[in-house]
Parts: sequence; C-alpha cells; structure tokens
Amino acid sequence: MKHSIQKEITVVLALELIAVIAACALVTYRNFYSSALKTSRDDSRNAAKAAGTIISEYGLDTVTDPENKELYGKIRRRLRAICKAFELDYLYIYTIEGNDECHYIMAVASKDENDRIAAERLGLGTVRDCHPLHAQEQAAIKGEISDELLILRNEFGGDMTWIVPFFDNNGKARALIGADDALYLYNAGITRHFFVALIPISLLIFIAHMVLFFIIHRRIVTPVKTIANRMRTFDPSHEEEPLQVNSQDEMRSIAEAFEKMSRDIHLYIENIASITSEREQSRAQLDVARKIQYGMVPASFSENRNGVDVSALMQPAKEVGGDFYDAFTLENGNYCAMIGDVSGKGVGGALFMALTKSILRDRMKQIMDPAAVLNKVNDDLCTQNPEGMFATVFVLVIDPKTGVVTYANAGHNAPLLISGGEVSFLNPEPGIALGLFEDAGIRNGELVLKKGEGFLLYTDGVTEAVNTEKAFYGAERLLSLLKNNTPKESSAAVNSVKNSVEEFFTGCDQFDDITVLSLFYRSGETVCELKPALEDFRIVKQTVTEKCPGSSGAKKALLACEEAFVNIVSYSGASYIKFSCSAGGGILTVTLKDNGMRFDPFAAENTAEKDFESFDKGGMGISLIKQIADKAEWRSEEGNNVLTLTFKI
Amino acid sequence: MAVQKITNGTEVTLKVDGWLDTQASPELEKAVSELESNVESLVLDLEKLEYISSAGLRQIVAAHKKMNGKLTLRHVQPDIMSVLSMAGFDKRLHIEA
Repeated sequence: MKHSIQKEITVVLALELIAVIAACALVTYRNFYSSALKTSRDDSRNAAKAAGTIISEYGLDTVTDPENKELYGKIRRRLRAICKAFELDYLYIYTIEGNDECHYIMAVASKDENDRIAAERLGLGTVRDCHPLHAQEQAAIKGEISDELLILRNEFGGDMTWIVPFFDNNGKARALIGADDALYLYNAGITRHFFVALIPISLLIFIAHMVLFFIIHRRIVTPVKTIANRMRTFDPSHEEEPLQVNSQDEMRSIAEAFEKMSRDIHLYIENIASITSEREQSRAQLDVARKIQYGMVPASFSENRNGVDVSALMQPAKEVGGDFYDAFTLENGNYCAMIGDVSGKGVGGALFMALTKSILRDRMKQIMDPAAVLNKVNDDLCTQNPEGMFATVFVLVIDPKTGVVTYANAGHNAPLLISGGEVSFLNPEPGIALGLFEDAGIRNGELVLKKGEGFLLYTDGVTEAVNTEKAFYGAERLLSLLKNNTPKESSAAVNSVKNSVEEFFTGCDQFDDITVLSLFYRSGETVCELKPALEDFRIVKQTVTEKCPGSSGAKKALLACEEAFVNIVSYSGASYIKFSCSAGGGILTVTLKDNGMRFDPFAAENTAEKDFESFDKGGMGISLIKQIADKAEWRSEEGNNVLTLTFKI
Repeated sequence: MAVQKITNGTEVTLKVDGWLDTQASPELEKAVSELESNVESLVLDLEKLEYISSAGLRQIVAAHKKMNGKLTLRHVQPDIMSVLSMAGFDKRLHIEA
C-alpha cells in the first residue's frame, strides 16, 4: 500500500491540532497582552499621581530644599511605600532643564538593594542626559499624558515606564513623575495568564481530535481493513463466514455488498461446476453413442468369401457423425454393399443413421433389389421423420457367379469404378436423398464386372476434407490418386484413400467421418484377410469344406492348409494373413499371403528328414504339406510370403 | 474334440473323437499328462477320430515317450492311417486296425 488513510488522517489531524493551538495561542496572547498593558499603565499612572499628591502636600520647592533633609527622607519613605504598594520597580520625580537634561529630585525602588542604588545615583540634584526625549516626556512637559509605550533598559534593569506630569498648586506642569513597572514581572504575568488560559483550550482541542481520530479509525479504517482482508483471502470454493463489521453506516453497506458479491460468485462457481460435470457426463454418453454407432458397421469382412473382396473403413470425426456402410450376403447368394451419409451430426444424426441403416438392411434382405429397397425405405423414412432429416445412400448388389452388378443411388456421391484397367466415376442416376419426398422414383442401373474389377464407394468426408489452406480434397484428387496407382484389391484401395486423405488434412481437425468401402469381383475365388490367430483357421476350414463338397481329399487339403497356417501364426510374426481359395475343374487352389518374416518352407534346410523321437518337438508340418499337396510353391512378393498349394479333388 | 478315459487295471484307454487339430491337441496332452503313475499301458482308440494334424501327431509321439513305448493305437480309420503313414508312424507305433 503506497498510502495509508490512517497515516494521512493522523498527519492531517496533527497539523490541524498544531494550527488550531497556535491560532488560539496567538489570539490569547494578544488579548492578555493588551489587558496586561492597560493594567500596567493604569496602575503605574495611579502610583505616579499618588506620588504627585504627596509631593503637592509639601510643595515641590520644600522637597527640593537641600536643607530640609529630614522632610526629604520622610517623603522618600512615603513614596517608597506607594512604590511597593503598586508593585513598581522604581518611582521617581525629575525635571527637564534645557532640552534634554534630566534633573532628578527623588527616586525610590521597591527592593532594598535597588532603593539604595536609586538613593545614591538618582538623588536630589543628579543630572543625566536624557536625549532624546521620549514622547511621554514631551507630552508631560506640556502637562499632557501620552500612551506611547516606553521601555527602558539600563543599569536599573528593564522596565516599562509610564510618565505623568506633576502640577503645582497653580496647575502648572513643574516636573515629571516616572513609574517603572518591572518588565519581567509584567512578562511573567502575561505568560502565566497565557498558559492558564491556553492549556485547557489546547487540551480540549487535543481531546476533540483524539475522539475524531478514534471515530475515523473505528468506523472507517478498521472496517476497510477487514473488508480488504476478506477480499484478499477470498476463496470462491468455500462458503464464507459473515463479515464482522460493527457498524450500521456506509461501511456496513459496503460489507453487505461484498458479501452479496461473494455469495453470487460462490453460487456461479457451483453452477459452473455442475454445468461442467453435466457436460462431462453428456460427453461420456456421446462417446458411448459413437461406440455403439461404429459397432453397427461391420468391422471386418473376413467371412465374405463369396466371390467378392470387400474392405471398408470408417474414420470417425470427433463428433458423432452420420456415415455408415454395410455389406452382407443375400439369401439368393448375391452380395450387397452400401454406403450412406445422413444429414446432421450429433445424437440426432446418429439416431437417424441407426434407423436408416437398420431399415435398409432389413429391406435389402427381404426385397434384394436396390432401387425397390431405396424407394421403400424412402417411404418408410418419410412417414417417420418429424425432424426432416435425410440420408444419401448408394446400394449395389453383385451376382458373384456372373459379375452382374445392380445399383441404385439416392443422392449419394458417384462411386469410382475400377474397370478395364481404368478408373472413372460411375455415372448413376443421381436419385434423391431418402426421407425428403415420397415417390423418390429411384431406378436401378446395371453393369458387369470382370474378375479383378471393382468399386470404391466413399462419403463426402473424403472429398470435403479440408487442409490447412482451406482447400477441399475434392473428387478429382481422389480420381487421380486411384488412376496413378490403380488398386487390385479392396484393402489396397481403402488404405490408399485413407492415407492420402489423412496426409492431406494433416494439421487440421477432421470435420467429418471419413468412410470408404471398396469391393472387387473375384469370381469363384474367395479372398479374405485373416488375423494371425488359430481361431481364424475356422474360416479356412469352412471355405475349403464348402468349395469341395463331398470330396474325400478335402480333409487332407485342409490338413496341409492347417500346417501352413499354424506355421505362419506360430513363427512368422505377421500382422495379417490374406487367404484366397478357388476351386474348379477338380483343382483346389489355396494361397496364403503373410507379411511376416521371410521364410521358404521348402528350402532344403527346412525339409531335412527328422528322427521320429524328436517329432514331439514339431517338424512334421512341412513334410505333411509336401506329401499332401499336389503342388506346393513359395515365393516372396513385395515383402510378403506367398504360399500356393494346389490339390486335386 | 472329446477325450473319454476308460481304466482297466493298469491299462487305460483314451477314446479320442472328432477333430484333433492344433486347437484341440492340448486337450489330449492334458489327458495324457494326468494319467496315474501306476498306468502301465495306454491305448488310444481312434475309431471316431475324423481328422488329425501334426499337433495331434506330436501328442501321440509325446504319449509314446511317456509310456516308454507301451502305446497302442486302435481302430485307426483309413483317412487317419494315411496321415500316420505319411509321418512314418506306421513303422514305429503299435497300430491295430
């Protein structure tokens, strides 16, 4: 604190105290001075007049007669009595001869010592130079009295002198009578009276100031300090005790205002805390919603072994989005794949997505015709859509036996077609988003895929991904990506798009879900990606069994496959195993492709004959494969081990 | 796969049914390891065994070692027999049709 009110008030009060006392002293002193002067003047003149009266009794000439010493002494005693009675220092009578010669007649003093000196030095006939004459003396010569102050300081001490003329019986001013009032007595009187008057006044003023100071301290400084302390230690997370301000004045209202403010802040903080926790809770619920949502789309297509190779990816944005995809086998053996995007995000979008996806899947399984299903679902959504939400959907159905694809579009982005070594946008009838208008009138399109040809379906999260320069990823970039590096299988297509888009928006937030689904036609071939885990062998087992119905060689082929599969799982460290299987013309071909450690099972060091006794440590697998398979080949392809086994069935 | 144990004095018969593949073989391993110490000979009844992989074959070799050769394979079906032959087991094990 740079300044303290208390200090300032103390200083101001002290200065004021000094000023007031000084003023009082001045006034008092002036009063006493003038009254003391008047008293001294009157007393002295009266004494001088009394002395004059005594002289008159005898006559001036008698007194000044040098022969009449006895009388002189008598008069002198009488004058001295007056001098003492009036508390004068000296009393004397003299004449002025010429212009400035004082001829003393008689001088007395109150004190014995002074009186002796006066008798010696100012006795009858003593002449002293008294040039220049004082105004009082000049007046007295003329028989007048002057009020002009005369202070004499000489060998007889400091005196205030009052001079009156002495008149003879004829009324003529014959001599001057001087009465000296002792200055020290006079001053002491003034001083005594001055202090007697001033001390109580000063004391009173001082007490009044102390009271004022105390009031200010108690009513202003202390409450201000209390409030300031409370403000300094104010902790909004704790309820405060009421402020102890013992007053009912403005300070009380400041304290009350502060208390109200603290309570309000406390309340706001509690509110904020509860709002925050509510927000956390709803965020957690949104997380759950998102997990449920992503749980609704198939995570892997390892079971789709029906002449198509499908991969898909949904990269969620921060918010719960509205993208979806689905792929499944229909009862008639055809394979259906779809992708969609519902309007709006958040919980509303997610719910509408869940509804749309469920209805689509159900209807597709019943009706199995893309356009008919989209029209039907559109009608369903129109009747159950109070919020006016809508969904864009692209559905295709492929006949794995012939490669015939039937597709229908409901306002969704045109998919990419990878066909004849070219990549181009499929140009379906645009259709109209589902849920907007009844009678959508969506119609099927049709094309035929050859083996190894396919689609890439995507949502606008791909084409509308934004980079740091606020540019869109765009359909053209997507097209040229696939043109430059035309994928031959679905997982390569999906990963290529995913990596490209992610690289594109590096440094920016992902605004929308990024959803991609790719489908390639394989004809009689089954392709799927398996996890390197023993339980995934059941897919191989099921596929091989299905491909070789009623064949006695199936189990042996399966044995060879198992040995190969188990070797990869146990020793290669691969993160995936791509399994493809085709059967036809009495030949079953199985290919296992893994990204594990390079290992040629048929190299000489791996096929050495082993002793029966060490068979419990393993080492029979490769031997069995070689014996069972009609052809067993290994090659390394782009860092992958590719094992191809051919069996006659 | 299922393993059923029949004890007859110091001879134990384990009936091994179904698919004895990599995932199922630990079950046979467990059954063999739990044999009492007084068991003198072991018979594996493979009448209802449909499939055997090298993991199953390994368990048979392990059982053969544990029993010091007192292991008999009984009711071996042709499919299984051909696998055993491929591995050369027919020359080393006591196999009954």
